Amino acid sequence: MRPAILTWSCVVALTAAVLLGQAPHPAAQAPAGPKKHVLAWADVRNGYQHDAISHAVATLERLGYESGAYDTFIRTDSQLITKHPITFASGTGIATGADFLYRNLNYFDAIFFFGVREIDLTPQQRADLLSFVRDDGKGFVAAHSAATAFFSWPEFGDLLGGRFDEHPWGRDGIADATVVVDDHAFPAMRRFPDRVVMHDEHYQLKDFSRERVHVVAHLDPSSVDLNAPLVHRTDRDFPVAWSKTYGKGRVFYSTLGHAAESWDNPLIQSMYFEALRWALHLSE
Amino acid sequence: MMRRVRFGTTVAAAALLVVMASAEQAAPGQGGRGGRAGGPPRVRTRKVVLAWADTRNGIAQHDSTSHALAVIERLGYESGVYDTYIRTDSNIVSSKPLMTTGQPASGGPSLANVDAIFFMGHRDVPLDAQQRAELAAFVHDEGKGFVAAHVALTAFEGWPEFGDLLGGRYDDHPWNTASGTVINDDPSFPATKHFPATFPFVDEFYQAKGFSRDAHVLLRLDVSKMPPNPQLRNTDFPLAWAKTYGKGRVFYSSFGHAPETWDNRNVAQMYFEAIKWALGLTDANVTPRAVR
Repeated sequence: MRPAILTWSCVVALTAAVLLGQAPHPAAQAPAGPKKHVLAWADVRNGYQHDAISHAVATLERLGYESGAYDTFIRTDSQLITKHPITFASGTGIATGADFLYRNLNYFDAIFFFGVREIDLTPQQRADLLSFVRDDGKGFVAAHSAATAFFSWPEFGDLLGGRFDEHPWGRDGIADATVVVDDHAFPAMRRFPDRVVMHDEHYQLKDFSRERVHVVAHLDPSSVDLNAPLVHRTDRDFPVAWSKTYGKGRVFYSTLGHAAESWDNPLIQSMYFEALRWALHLSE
Repeated sequence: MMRRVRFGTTVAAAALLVVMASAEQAAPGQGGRGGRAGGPPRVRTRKVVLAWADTRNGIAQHDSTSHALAVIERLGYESGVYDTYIRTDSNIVSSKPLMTTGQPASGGPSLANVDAIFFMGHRDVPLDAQQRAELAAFVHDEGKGFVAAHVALTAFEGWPEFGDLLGGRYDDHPWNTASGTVINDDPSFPATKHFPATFPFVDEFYQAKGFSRDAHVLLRLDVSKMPPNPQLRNTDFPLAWAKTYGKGRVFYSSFGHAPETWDNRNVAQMYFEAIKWALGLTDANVTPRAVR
């Protein structure tokens, strides 16, 4: 027998076990149609690892798992960011070369991205990531420090819709500010009240255009100190969340989610979960 | 039809954690980082666990890996016992982590500031010689904890010291995923005391070889109840053990092949209690015993 750890026979046997009711706790109810696959990608090797990141990816995994909307692969490396076969040359592993049972971007329907700063991707990986959204129509949902990523890569700014430009407010960048919802019809914003005070590391964004991104929430400029030293915008326009398209794909970004506790806030959970469902074409 | 997502803590999880949270975490304001317990901000008293699952080599990532990491994170978060860093790269497994450029990282988690590792990597995990030495010393010399699940038994085939640390090596799964009877060899150990004397279980049971004489077996498969299999080479078939490695505490269990296995409350409690024991929050006798 092939000494594989995971074989199709295991999968079949497991499926049978589930159908026979032998699974200990079948929490995930399969929805109609094939389950979507989300890659929760948080390569933090080259920047500050926010304490929130592990809790954020674990929370989104749970929301997908419990709802049955999607399965999640959590990765803090970038190996899967490719449409090409994944092989490895070194080592004593049983699976080398062409036999490697990889899951690359072709397997996934959307990415949840919570990376930071410069991430080590080859030019081919960068091209594949853009094509994943633009040509394949897959989803890209990004949180908080995602806006600090890939400053050296202009196309990433086009994909995401804007760039980080400091967190000017409060002690250590953390402050209360009033979030004003622009579009309650957007699925990610449906649970939000018109205005809500959020305690977070509120970002100032730059290099975005309201003609290219659909702002669904913004900061009430009267709720923040416009004279803070790092406030650079003169138009008082501080988006908190936007949706956009990039080619055929759907993109969502929000500044919210600096602290682990933020991800326990039902508003933030529902925002990112519904954004993922929208990016997966499970809602319109 | 999709079920509605339950935002926030589920009733099931809350009930589980009422059972699992022990007295030392019960003080007011000592709940999870999520702040559900209320109270003022407090100094960092929780332990820090690195949930590490480098799956870049081997036969692709198990479907259970990410769910397992998320469950481990949640158990620590909601109980307030530990905070978790989830990592699937191995740069963090160093006292001085490097960026992908080779330059020193700008701080953040490292072996110098975590108290235990939950490990679910597999096969030939890419660590250089310095990282391997530091990982072994993390447990052996610094007395930190190491809790490993399922595929961890397949890891680091080319590194003999890792077999000594973990207490065994992977030697196939003769029945693939199958139903079996598990014998509880130590109902006094914190991670297995909630299991009955014997219980049915469905999993991909890993056969161990090179089994360490200094390991204290907690759970084993009743091989006499399994169908004959030519790949069965070890009639002593441990499925969970605890041991020491130098000053550090080590726990391994084969349980956890399928995502659903991690929803089994007994399995979740086993790993949670194993982590608490490895962190030194509970104590147990792990004197090795002769094979029965």
